[in-house]
Amino acid sequence: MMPSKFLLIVLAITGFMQSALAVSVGEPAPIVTLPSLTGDADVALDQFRDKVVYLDFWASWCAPCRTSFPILQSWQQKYQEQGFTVVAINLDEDKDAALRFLQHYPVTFTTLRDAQEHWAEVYAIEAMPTSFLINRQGVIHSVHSGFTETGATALEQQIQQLLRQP
Amino acid sequence: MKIMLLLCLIALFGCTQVKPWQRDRLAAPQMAFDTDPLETELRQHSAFSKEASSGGYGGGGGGCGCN
Repeated sequence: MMPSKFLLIVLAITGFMQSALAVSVGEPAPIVTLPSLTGDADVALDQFRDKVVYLDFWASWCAPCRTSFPILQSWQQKYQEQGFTVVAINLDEDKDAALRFLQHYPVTFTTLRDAQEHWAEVYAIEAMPTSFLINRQGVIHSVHSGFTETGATALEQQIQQLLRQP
Repeated sequence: MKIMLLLCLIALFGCTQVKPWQRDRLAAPQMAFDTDPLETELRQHSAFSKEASSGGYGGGGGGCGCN
């Protein structure tokens, strides 16, 4: 067997050749349907159509998420009347950890739970947190990995810009 | 040789990529090399002091390891 062929097989087996599932900017956001983290009702992303949605994938152990949640909550309150909403998808293995996190960082926006990690795969999350800014037509406007207070200013400007669009 | 190669290949099936949202599991206590870092530290200190003269841990003074 040729060495290069052998290498290829090894790579294939170890799973480094991942299929490109990633969603991308300018394409419609896949319609997430998940149970609520705090309640029982299922929530589907298309019920927020004609709203600007900040779709956030987070976990309780993720340090930048501790920075993001109070800021996201402030945006939710500031812009919800203009048609903005945060949808936060939890990826914790342990649901109780997520609920404890919410006790420390209380929020009023929608929190969902992706226990099967299915939507994290579909959205090809590469960092925690990863967020998707979705416009009123349900199209992904931008993708953000991580969260910092300094980066939040630019994000807020993007949200304001999207809110001005019909 | 071929069998060894095959075994290695089979073992590779056990490999997996840790997804970004699973990284908390790497920090779980059961993932640590050492179950009790403090005890290891104390034992190391004692062993270091007693074995320093025979080499292996670099320099060091020797003695009882009481300090």
